[in-house]
Amino acid sequence: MADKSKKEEIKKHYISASESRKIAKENSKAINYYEKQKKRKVNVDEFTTQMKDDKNIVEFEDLHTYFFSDAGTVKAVNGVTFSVPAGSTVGVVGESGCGKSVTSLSLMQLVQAPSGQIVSGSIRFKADLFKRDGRGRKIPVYEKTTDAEGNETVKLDEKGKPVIKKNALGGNTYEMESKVVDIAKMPTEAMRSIRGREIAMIFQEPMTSLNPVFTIGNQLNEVGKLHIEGISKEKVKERSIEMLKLVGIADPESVYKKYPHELSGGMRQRVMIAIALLCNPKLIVADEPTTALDVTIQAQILDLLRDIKTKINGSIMLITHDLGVVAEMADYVVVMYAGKVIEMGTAEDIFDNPMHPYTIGLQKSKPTVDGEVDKLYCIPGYVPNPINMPDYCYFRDRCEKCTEKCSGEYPAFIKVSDTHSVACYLYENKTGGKTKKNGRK
Amino acid sequence: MAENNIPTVLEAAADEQNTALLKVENLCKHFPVQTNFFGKPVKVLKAVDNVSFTLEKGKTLGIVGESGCGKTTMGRTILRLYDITGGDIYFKGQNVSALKEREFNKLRPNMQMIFQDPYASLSPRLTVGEIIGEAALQHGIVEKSKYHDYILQIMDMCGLQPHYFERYPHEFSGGQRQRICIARALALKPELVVCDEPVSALDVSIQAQIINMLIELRKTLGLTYIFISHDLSVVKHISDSVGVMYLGSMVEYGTKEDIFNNTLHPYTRALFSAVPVPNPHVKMNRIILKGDIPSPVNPPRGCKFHTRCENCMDICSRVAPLYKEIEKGHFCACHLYNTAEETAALLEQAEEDEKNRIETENSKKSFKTVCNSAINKIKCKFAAKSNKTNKDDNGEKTAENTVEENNAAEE
Repeated sequence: MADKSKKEEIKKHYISASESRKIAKENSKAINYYEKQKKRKVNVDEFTTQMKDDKNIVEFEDLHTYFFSDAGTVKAVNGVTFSVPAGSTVGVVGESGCGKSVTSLSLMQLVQAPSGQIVSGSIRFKADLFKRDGRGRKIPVYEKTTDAEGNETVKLDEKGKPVIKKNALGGNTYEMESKVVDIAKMPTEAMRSIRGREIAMIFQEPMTSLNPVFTIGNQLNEVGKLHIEGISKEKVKERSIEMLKLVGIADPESVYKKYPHELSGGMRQRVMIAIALLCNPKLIVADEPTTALDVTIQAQILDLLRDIKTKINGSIMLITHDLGVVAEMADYVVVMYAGKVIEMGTAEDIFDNPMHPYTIGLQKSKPTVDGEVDKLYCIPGYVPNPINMPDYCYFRDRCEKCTEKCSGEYPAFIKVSDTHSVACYLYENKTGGKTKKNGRK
Repeated sequence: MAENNIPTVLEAAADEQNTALLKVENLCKHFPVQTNFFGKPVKVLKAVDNVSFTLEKGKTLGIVGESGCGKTTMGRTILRLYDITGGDIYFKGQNVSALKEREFNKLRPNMQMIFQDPYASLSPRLTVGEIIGEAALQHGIVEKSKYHDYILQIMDMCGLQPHYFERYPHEFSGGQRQRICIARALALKPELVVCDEPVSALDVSIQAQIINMLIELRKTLGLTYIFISHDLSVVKHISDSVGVMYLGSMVEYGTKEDIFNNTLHPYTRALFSAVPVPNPHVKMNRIILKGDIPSPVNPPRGCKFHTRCENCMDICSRVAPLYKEIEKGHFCACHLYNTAEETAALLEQAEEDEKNRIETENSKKSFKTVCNSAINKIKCKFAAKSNKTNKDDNGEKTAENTVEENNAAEE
């Protein structure tokens, strides 16, 4: 009897050889399919779509990003839907492993391939693409001169070639067109014109994301040379130093020549931000930009990010696990749990009137400097295993308020107010009205 | 009569020290950065510099500060995981800093540590039971016959299920691993536990579980904690007294209420204002510190904080402030709280020190100048000679061979 239960116990944690072979076979099949999808050559029209709301800059809709691992398929992002309005900061909060980083990496098409793949769903992004002629070339804008009679002629250089107009960054100007693209369906080749130029990312650890064998200047210049076509060497350097100055580095010329190990953590994070800003992106994805930093340096960096958002007039998607940082920075908050969005709304909605039991628990479990409690609330249990997720609400086993209905299918989003929605059966019949009952005291 | 008094005085002193489980006096830990040819340190990194405090039984001392301020080094030095450079540590009235290694090893079960990173501090080759029980067996805390039950009892106390006994650490999540670390420390029945950032690697919901457990264990087992963390809100929740460190020295120390409600030191104030509050309506009056923490190898002269301080005065860059009791039980090292006389005295002393320094430098210089002048004289002689030949050269403006010929002629 005891042996039997022990065997069952072992079975729970290990998979047999035949099962493992089966998984490997399925994985390679799936991975091959998605890799081919990424390499295919397609027309621009195939991945252009329409925005649902024109005010948004990014819309995620039912995004699924899976990791095909040897132990089974990990559904890291499992149906995420939210949007980033233009000119605002959206904070994505959640514990580690809830899929917030993978969501942002999906947006950049930087999910660790080949095991990680965007499986379905769409990420709509309002991009400025280069206009192409019949042969797929960019159409340059030439500099024009008007002679005495008022006729416009194209300016020619010494060799008789037409001169291309320079843009604000010092690169060549090409004809652009505004299009809404679906990043989830985009091939890798096409993504390169958007990544870095339109969407930039600030990575989590400034210590590991800078290359130790190149100087700061070199790493900044690389971005400029790649993404600003036709820019001269001098202009690139000028731009790099200008960016270092913008992020508040006191002595940009000397930092330009330094190597990453010569800088402190805060300075390195500033350099990372400078790299992200170099091409004037419309959207900055900041993946835990201050997690590795001290509170005093964190305050400096958050101040800088806020400053820069107004300067470049862009949007920020801020990913963090720190509720304090989100409350301070974000206009909209998205709370994620186990690969799904469970609650979203404005910062006021989420912090004054949290609704999902998980959001409430999360806020109560964090001690604050100004408040005092005898015992911290703790959410019982652990996050479910990402392989073999249950069919019912993922939070059911840890929830104190769960009802019979919770064992049914996963709850759909319920709109509580115009801005606030929550995925929980508790609020099914209370649509519209504000329930203050579960609010923070 | 006087002789009769001595034992009573001693007893009183002993009583006082009995309540104080741990007393640290002028603790120093310096790491050599650069050594000369003979292996003597030329440059030292003062990781912990003159730290003193007392900790009563059953209380918790929270240590906060930025990374690199010496919090962890202090914790490790108290447990003598590092050799002590200077200062004394009294554990239950006994000076443990003077003990020999072998004698101190007998005391080790009383002082335990919970390390920062639960992913790095568990041996991947040992089962959970072995990890928890290894030290207990070594120190003879339990008999071999009762070993198994004892470990299970400890595991149960730390919220670990009995069937984890034969599992390996890689099978556990971060929170569970931290529980194993705590169980390992508690298996030795310690009185003092140094918790080095026990929750900073964990998620918020798991953090709460671990903190609650630590508080519970403190109550049931009568433990004393030194709780090292950079998270001020956690320190506030768990501590009775708080010490704030900056660049290796304690800048402020007091009870929790003193530190959080009546903040004295400008650094503490800046640190507290930088903590983000999870409430979108609160608009913070941030004191944003400029720049980074200076290098501890080459700390600024005078007050170490003066390069980033808002209230920096003339005296701050010249004299290091004294660490003194400003209110009862509330210590602070800042010139803002000096009386006029103290300031004058400090300045006077600083001037004297400065004079001494210049004198010693001058004496060094004078030796150098003597040498230099002698060398210069010799140089001048040579220069004069060569000048002569040069002049000859200039007069004739000929090639080298001719110069040689000239020299030959002169000879």
